[in-house]
Amino acid sequence: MEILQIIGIGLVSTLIIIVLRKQKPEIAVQVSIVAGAMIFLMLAAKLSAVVDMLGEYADKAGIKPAYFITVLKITGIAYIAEFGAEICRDAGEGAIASKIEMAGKVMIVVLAVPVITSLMDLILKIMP
Amino acid sequence: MLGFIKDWTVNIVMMVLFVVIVEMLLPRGRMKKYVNLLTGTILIIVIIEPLTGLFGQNFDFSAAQTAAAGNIDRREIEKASKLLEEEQLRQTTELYRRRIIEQITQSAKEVEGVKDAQADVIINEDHDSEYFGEIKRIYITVYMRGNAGADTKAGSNGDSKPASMDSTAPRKDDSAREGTIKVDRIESIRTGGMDGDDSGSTVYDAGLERRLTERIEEIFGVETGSIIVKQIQR
Repeated sequence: MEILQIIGIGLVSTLIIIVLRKQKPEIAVQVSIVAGAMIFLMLAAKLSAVVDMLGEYADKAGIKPAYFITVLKITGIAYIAEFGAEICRDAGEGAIASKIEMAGKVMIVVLAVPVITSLMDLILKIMP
Repeated sequence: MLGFIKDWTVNIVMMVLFVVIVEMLLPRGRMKKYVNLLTGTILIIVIIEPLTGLFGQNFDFSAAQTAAAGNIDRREIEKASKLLEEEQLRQTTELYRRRIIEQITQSAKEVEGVKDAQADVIINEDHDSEYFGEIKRIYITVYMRGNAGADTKAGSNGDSKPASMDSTAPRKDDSAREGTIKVDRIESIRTGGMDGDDSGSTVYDAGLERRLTERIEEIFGVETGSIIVKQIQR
């Protein structure tokens, strides 16, 4: 039951942060970053297993890998950007958090533009 | 026909399921609507793509996507390389300027009666111009050997000012074009030289200046009017 371990890490780090915040707020931020990274790493293996399996099924069902890969890439970018932005926001740096989010949006748009242009191509092709 | 419809339906259903799972995984933050836009677009593509097969034209999504992505990459690299080029050009110009200064210092030291020399040049840094790299102005500060200047038209500070005035006067065409910056540069060089050695007094040796400017003119092809010499005796 890994969910118990994750909750354990979360609770322990929360308590540590509450104690530290009065005395040393700068170390509290570091503890929260480390706890976030640990939880993220514990999830990473499971997540990649799920994604692999979904990919296999998509292959079986005949979905082209290009669709699958694009959706996954964008999800990953959104996830990582959100993760980084949340850490910054926890540390009280809302400005940097929104910069990270902006970078994530730009990256997503860079990936999205080819998809949208290929939709336009497709529509133009279908039009007689 | 039945097989076509079956494939189509399975494709759409699988893609919808897949998108739902992915959206479940997404954090609830602000990124969600961007991801939704993209998954929606891909769903539309999945739904209408088989129709191209009916019309006899095949649509290859990954090829179209790769082409568009390649297009974006190419533009990005073009922009980045333009920036790099400017930076590189700036550095090259600076290097070139330093090398010219070194050469001028060297050749000034070879002139008889000169013990040490410092130089500064102003070159045309506008790389769109036809005369890019042309030397506009040369400032030389020479430190003279012992009594070399003393027995000629020995002058103290009083003489030196008109001397440098003389050399600045002839360049009427240049000064109209370049204005006040040059004056600042002269000032800074003058004070810099003074700070360098307190004991040195400014003197004026017309013969030495003539030899120096002639030599510099010969080597670098700069007009005599654009060469400004300041002499200091140690």
